Amino acid sequence: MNVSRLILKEIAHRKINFAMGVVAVSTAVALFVTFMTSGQAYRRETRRIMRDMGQNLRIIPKETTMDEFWTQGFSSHTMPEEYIQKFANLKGYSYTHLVATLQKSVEWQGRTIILTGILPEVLPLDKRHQAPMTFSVKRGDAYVGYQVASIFKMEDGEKIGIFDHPFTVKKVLFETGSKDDIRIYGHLHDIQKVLDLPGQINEIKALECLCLIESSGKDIDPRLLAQKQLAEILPEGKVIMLQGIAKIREKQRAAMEGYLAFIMPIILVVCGAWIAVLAMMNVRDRRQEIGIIRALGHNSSKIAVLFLGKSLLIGLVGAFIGYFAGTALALKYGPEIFKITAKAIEPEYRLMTWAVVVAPVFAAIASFIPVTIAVAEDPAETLREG
Amino acid sequence: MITLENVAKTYQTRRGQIKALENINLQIDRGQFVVIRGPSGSGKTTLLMTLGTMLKPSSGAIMFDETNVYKLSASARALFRGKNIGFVFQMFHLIPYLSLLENVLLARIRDDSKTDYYDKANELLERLGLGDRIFHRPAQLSAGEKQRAAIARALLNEPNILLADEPTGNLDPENATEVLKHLRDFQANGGIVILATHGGQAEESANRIVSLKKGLVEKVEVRETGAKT
Repeated sequence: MNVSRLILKEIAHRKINFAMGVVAVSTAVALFVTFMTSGQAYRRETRRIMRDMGQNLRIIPKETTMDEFWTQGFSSHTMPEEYIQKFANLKGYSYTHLVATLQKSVEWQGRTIILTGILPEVLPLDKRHQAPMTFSVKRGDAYVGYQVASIFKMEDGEKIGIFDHPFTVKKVLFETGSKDDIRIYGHLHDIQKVLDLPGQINEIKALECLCLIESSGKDIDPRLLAQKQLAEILPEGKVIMLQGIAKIREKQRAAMEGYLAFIMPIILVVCGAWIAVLAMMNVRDRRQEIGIIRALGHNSSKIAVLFLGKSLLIGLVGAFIGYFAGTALALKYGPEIFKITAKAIEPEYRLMTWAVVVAPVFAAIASFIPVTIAVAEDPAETLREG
Repeated sequence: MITLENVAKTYQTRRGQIKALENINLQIDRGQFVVIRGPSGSGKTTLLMTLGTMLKPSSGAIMFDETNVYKLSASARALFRGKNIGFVFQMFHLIPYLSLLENVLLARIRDDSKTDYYDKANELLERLGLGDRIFHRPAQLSAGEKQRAAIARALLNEPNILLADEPTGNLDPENATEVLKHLRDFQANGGIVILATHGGQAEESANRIVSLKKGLVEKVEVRETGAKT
């Protein structure tokens, strides 16, 4: 009679013990899978929210002094427009949504406005599938800030002239409560003409997703990393990272990981103890069985295999049930929690591989002490008890 | 032949040492039916377990022919036990979730493809009057049937020695007679039967009775008769 048959027969006989063990493992696996699947959605959602907050990286001409930059809000120096193209053919970097701009504060009709020329977004080679996150302006069109439009009573479709260059007001922008309210946006090449700065820009805005830092899991200063990488790509530029956004992102990630780091050990300890208690009860129930198996001439390794085999089976069945239950939970409740990325919540198949490998080992480890006790049972003692 | 030389077994307890066996010297030859008799606590089961290679004596030696069995490694001793010794207990100790046939087959320890254990187990159960019960679970059997199944399990590996601890203790006289008959059959075929009992019917089958008292051999009776078939 082989061991596997013996294990299966015993399981069929003590169904409740087996079922309780499976419940313990599948609970641990389900919670882990739910957290991980939802965690992925959480990361995607964070990324999306961060992206919606705007670009967090500003590349300006190297000679710009920071006091001047922060006073004005842009650099008074310029750099060639072609620099933006250096990013277009890159792969493997985490920068994306690059926008070349030229901004200058000018006096127009007795008021100070900021003329801002923008080019359509440039996406790196490996991120061409991404949808643009900023608006672009067609040649001859102008997007007018709320304050400027209010002062000059501009409306959509109105024809205006900026230093003798004709524009059509494509859209009056909503009030933002920032410098954007005194801007007039135009296509970069139109604004270059207005400002008589052909082929020049004074800033490249970009989104740094912090993906590399997140995936490395190391405590790296994102600004230093960005500076190091951009120094290789664009030595003529100076990099400013909007630390606030980066810090929020970091904090969100740390909060999620901290939560998982807190909750997962508790789940593992509780479920591990549960399995251990069940295994202990099983050993107690089977003391005389152990005794007779030993009396029949089977050695202690067979006893160990009997109990460990059962634990592995509990782990395996629990892994499958837990994976599907956890995925179902994440798919059902995840979209309610993560509304923005609801459609992106999907089964994490790699977790099934993880569960199938780790859960049986976890169950076997949890029942290690009871198995040791089973192996050490004195057959003479147990058989004597009758 | 089994030889016990100055075998002693002492248990260490919180209250001190308990001498379960003391200075046991015995020689048991092939074809003998030995009854170990004595009141509760006299050391019968301890002696049986010691003979069964499951309880190492505190001192002394137990030789099976030329083999000092407690000098063997644990796994070698387990294998030796499986091949040479069959056990029958008062409480039967059948595995509740296995059929009778599976219970008997559980004793299979030899990796011997030439031996058809399945047929052998069937034949044993048939011989012991359980041919129509092979797929029944122990819970579906009477006490006498359980004990006969336990005997079949003990005989699967064709052992030389059968150790029986109160094998008739839970049986009615009719079943007890039948069980003893099967043990005598084993003896008649050259096997050694060592049976521990408080006394009673089993002694009639013995050709040697060892009386134990407080761990000591009080008396050894040799009978010319015995081996009744």
